[in-house]
Amino acid sequence: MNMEDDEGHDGFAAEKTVTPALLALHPFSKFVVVSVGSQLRVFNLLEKCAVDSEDINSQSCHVDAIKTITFSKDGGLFASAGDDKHVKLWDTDTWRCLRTVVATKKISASSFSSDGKWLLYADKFGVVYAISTEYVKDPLAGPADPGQPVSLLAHCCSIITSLKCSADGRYIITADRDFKIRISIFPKNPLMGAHEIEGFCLGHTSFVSCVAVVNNNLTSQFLVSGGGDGTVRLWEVETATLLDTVDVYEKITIANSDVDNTAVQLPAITCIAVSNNASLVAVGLESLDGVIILGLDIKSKRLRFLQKFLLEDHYCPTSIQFDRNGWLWLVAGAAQRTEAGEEKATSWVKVVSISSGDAILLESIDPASLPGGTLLLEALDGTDSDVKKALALADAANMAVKEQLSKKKYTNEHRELRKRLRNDKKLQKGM
Amino acid sequence: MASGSKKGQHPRKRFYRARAHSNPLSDSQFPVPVSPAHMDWSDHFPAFFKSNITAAPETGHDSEFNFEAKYTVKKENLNGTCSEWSKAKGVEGDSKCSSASIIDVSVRKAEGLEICKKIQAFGDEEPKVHFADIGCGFGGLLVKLSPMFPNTLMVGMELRDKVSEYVKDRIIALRKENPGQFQNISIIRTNAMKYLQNYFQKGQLQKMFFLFPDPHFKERNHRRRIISIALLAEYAHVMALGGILYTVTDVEELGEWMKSCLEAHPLFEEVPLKKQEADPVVGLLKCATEEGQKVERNGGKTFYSVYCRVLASSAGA
Ligand SMILES: C[S@@+](CC[C@H](N)C(=O)[O-])C[C@H]1O[C@@H](n2cnc3c(N)ncnc32)[C@H](O)[C@@H]1O
Repeated sequence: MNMEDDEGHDGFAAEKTVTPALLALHPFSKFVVVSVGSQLRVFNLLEKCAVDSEDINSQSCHVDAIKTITFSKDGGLFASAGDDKHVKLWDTDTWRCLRTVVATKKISASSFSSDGKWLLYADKFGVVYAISTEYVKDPLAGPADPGQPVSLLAHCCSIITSLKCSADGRYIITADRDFKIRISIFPKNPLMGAHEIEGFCLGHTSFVSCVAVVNNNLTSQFLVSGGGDGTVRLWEVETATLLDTVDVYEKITIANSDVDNTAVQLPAITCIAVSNNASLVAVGLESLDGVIILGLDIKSKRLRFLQKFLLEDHYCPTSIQFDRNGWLWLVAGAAQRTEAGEEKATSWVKVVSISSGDAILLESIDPASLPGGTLLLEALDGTDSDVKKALALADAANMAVKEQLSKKKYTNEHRELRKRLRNDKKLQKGM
Repeated sequence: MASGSKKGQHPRKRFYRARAHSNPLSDSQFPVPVSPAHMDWSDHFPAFFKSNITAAPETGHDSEFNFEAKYTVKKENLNGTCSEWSKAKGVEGDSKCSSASIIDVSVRKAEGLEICKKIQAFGDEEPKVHFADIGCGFGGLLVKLSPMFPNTLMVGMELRDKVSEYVKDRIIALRKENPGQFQNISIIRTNAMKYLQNYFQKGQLQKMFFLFPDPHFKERNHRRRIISIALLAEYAHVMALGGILYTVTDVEELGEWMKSCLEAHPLFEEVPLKKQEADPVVGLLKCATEEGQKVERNGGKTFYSVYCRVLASSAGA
């Protein structure tokens, strides 16, 4: 089993004992969810209280790290999935788990179709599956048989790092470790598969770590992507055309020499988010304790560097998202599995307001001004949250992801050795 | 160049011993162009890129086939900032040039000029590869097709390093022996299952060949097969409407598998038998390649599929 899992990465699976914390905001800001390791922490922003996490995590818990969480566009459904190969669909009215699909491989990404009728998820081998969500809320109304997942498309044995559906429902966007973003046409009938490719967005010179779709009222669809090459790129979806590139790393090393620019490998973009009014893009950069804000101008199809906003020392966000009011929510956190199988999970949520006038102004929001105040942070961060540890782990988790996605550079010596071992094996067999 | 072969002499297979198989699913160690626009074909087909040659200084040594060194030339035929760069270098950016952008920091400075030159020289008229032989092995098919379609650029794609070296040396020898001929065939070492989109634009290929592909008998290895429903989507993407995909095998089960994948795919339709018979290429499938000749010598049976790239039927996907 393990052997098979390793395949495709030349037998060198990175042992990822640390996984980054994730954050998801309800589209109408009813809830904020943080996942750390196998745990889900849900806070009700309207009622300003935590959703009983005991309840959530006991009735139907994940048993290994969660790698993807997402709300449906109308906010009625939520999905979580990850290393335990379980894909869980949740009803956000009751926070009951409606269905658990057991996949054959670890899950790396997920997204609801824009009409909410399908949940798409990608496994570690690059296969994207779809399951119908229609029956789940009202079992009596839907078909008796919820149906098995159907495979939609596949990236040839490459880890899919990000999966999105375009806002207009026409496209499936999948990014992978092999530097590419694939734009597939969303099929009329997903049960038949997604066989038609609109294009490939090619330009990143390392793995694509994250993708965000731009919501706008124009007929064209746009997306932004961040990569292991330290760049953020703006693409037109229909034509898979690269419109603009910002070399974030270059920008901040020139602006300031906080980051070690003697590093052989460029620091990777770790997370990306687009504001709802499509004017700002926020990104996290490996080992940078803060966020980078880029200006997005859809009309002129440009992306430009605006500002580096430093947060607390060592606060390197692992996941970020804008809410409807333009606040940027961040989480820095991670979970680590000890050898005994115990899980240590820590996270630290922050919210930053961004006002854009002549110059943009970023400001960390005082916890007391958040809905629910410190209750919110307590609920999301967990009680035993040790700030220092959380931050150290968060950065370690970002690095672990990069480690897993980077192409291994073997030395000649190393390759020779592997060849020899292989031949030795053959000799033994022959004897 | 592999040892034991003198430049321009016909290579001998025994000097190119290769492993019987290479795992197409593992990470690879060869360079891959960032996008088709980054691929410099002029070193593969110098005779078809004459104006480029006059623009570039003659290097003298092995200029005919010096493609490895320039494998990863970075240019981008997209909107962007090439003109900015040209300005910085004091080069007048013309309209063609400004529609290009150089994206890779590490190489943009060194190679930008060259790319601009190339785009100036050819623009959209740059000669393009139209046939691809996937898993070409020792290259027998390319050698047969070359004189049949002397004005069509074709490339073989082969995963095994030694085998691709062999094909390269074979083509060099053929070009040397037959001046003016075999200028339209070349070879790339790559994993065609993973990187086809990096070499070819949407709709670029008129013919794709999959001759005697590795059978991967075991059920659990079926995902290594080079024809699968998922991969056909990528092949369809790089194929022109009306383009033809040819497969042949001596393994009956694999033949059925390939046919069933093609049959199930909404973007492929079988070429009617009459048309297949009229296609001179079909006759080559079972005898042009080294593998085909082996099968023929042993009197083995062969199983074909010849399919046309079509628009998705509105009823289907
Ligand atoms: C059985 S041989 C057939 C060679 C040739 N077509 C012939 O008929 O003689 C299959 C070839 O495909 C190559 N191959 C397998 N997978 C490949 C891939 N993903 N990309 C490129 N070549 C591949 C193998 O290295 C091998 O040389």
